[in-house]
Amino acid sequence: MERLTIEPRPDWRERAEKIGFEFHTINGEPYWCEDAAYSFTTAEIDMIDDAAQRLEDMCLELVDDIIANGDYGAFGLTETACSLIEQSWQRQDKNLYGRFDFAWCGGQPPKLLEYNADTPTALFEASVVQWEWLNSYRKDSDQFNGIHETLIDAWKNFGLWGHRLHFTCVRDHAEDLGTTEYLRDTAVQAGLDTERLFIDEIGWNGARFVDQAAKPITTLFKLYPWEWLLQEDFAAHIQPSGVKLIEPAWKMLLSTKAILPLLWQRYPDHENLLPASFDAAAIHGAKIAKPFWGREGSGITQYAADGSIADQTAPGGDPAPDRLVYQQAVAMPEFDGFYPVLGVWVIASRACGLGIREDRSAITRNTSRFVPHLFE
Amino acid sequence: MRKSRVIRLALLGTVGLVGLAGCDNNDPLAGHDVLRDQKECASRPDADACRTALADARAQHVQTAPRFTSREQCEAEFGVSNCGTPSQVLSGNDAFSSAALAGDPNSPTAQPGPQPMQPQAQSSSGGIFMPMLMGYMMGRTLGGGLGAQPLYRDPSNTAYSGGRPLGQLSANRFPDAPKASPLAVSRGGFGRTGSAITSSAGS
Repeated sequence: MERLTIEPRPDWRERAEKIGFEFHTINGEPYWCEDAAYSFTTAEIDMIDDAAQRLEDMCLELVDDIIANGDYGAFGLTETACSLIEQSWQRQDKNLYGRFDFAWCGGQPPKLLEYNADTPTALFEASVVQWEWLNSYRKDSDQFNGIHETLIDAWKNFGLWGHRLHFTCVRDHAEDLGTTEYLRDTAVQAGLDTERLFIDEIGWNGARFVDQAAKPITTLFKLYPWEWLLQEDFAAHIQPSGVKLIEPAWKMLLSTKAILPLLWQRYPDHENLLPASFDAAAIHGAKIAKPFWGREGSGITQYAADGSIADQTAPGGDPAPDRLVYQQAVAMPEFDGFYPVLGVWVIASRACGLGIREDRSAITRNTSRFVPHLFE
Repeated sequence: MRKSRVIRLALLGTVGLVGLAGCDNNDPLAGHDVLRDQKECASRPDADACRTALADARAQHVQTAPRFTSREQCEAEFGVSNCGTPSQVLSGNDAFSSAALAGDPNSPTAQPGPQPMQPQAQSSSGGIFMPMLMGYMMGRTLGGGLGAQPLYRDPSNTAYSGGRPLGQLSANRFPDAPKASPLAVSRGGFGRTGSAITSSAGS
């Protein structure tokens, strides 16, 4: 694994916009960055591909265990949430996508930092934008990137023929809208009948959720976290309405940081896991405290080996900022002053692509830069 | 192994938008007279034949309308509050009001007066449900006489006759077409957390 310093294509903005990439610059700062690229060997790509696939399989086994035993104690979930989780698992509601974030510099096995199982973003840039870059920049190299076709195949297997599939996200957010519209694009290509609306436009008519044309919403892709939905006014309608959500409710178990200690308990000393616990004292040396539902690097505290606070980020929209997990700190690999995080995409539980975000700080936030990758 | 793949986008990018703009040239009713109700026969030279044709079509409506075994299934196709039992769809927003029927000896027996449909929020099944009638498409029968077909439309403005979609209606085709009284829909019950945070809901 290497970080290459390269020359951006002079017309990269026009190229990005031509393929519908509207958020290449965020808050005036470049988000898509092609002044650098990460380069891998085929063997290295196989390693992170295998690591993500193993972890996805382990996660599904963990969910099966938790639901079979009704063992939700660690999650701090409401009864409504648990009942939705069970309903969706028993109904075998399909999952669409997720992203495993790894710390890695090649060599030793990659270590899982966290699993974004409910509302991952940075998908379009990983799937389409960096592919467009590779094709114009280094046609003879390859890229770990089968995201696009895997998405289209996944939609075909959703059992949605003859049904309408709605897509929703928050208003006034180019990145979220871009991700949602990209997913809708792949669903259209899979032959599905789709509609889009903003989350606040969803209506409730006393029996069902409806869109603006008063058509029932029966299956809904939502780029909106489950823990937010469940604290809002329409939460109680989800179960009686029978609406199927994507991601399904059972993904709530995997989208909290609580799975980090639970995975470590179930698979102790697994080569892709870092020691993690609900109990700070159980993790020796430098460690990171992460809130259960923290997002975009919010609410994280980094402790040095002597217990002093080394770094801290502001809290985000976490409904329970005091529920924490502790994960052993891993030496974040640094390349030219940047700390990359490797996001491996799983679509319909199949590992199929890589997107890299790097930051000048060791905690990846929503201001991190997306940089392309290639392998030889 | 992945070098030869080509990514195509259907919706995004400049290519994807071509051809999505509205197009009125394919109105499925182009070339046909469309009547909302029997009153509109009065201004035609063939007023009597017109009334007969509409009366036939109305009877036909009950026989050939798309049928559903629950209100939910019907509304999923034709829109909330746009469905009813056979007696409701004949007496509801159908245009054969008692006033229109009063002076018409050819009219079939009808329920007296329009009965506004009661919105039913709760699940209702066990009966037959069909869409409300939007109007009639006039044409010629095989024998050269005047004929009419019942028309329905769904909330996306697709016209149907029988169970068969005819196509997309142009937006101005029925600007004042009878609208089903909508169920009370509340909105805004989702999204509060996201709008308070004003950052990405993604991760």
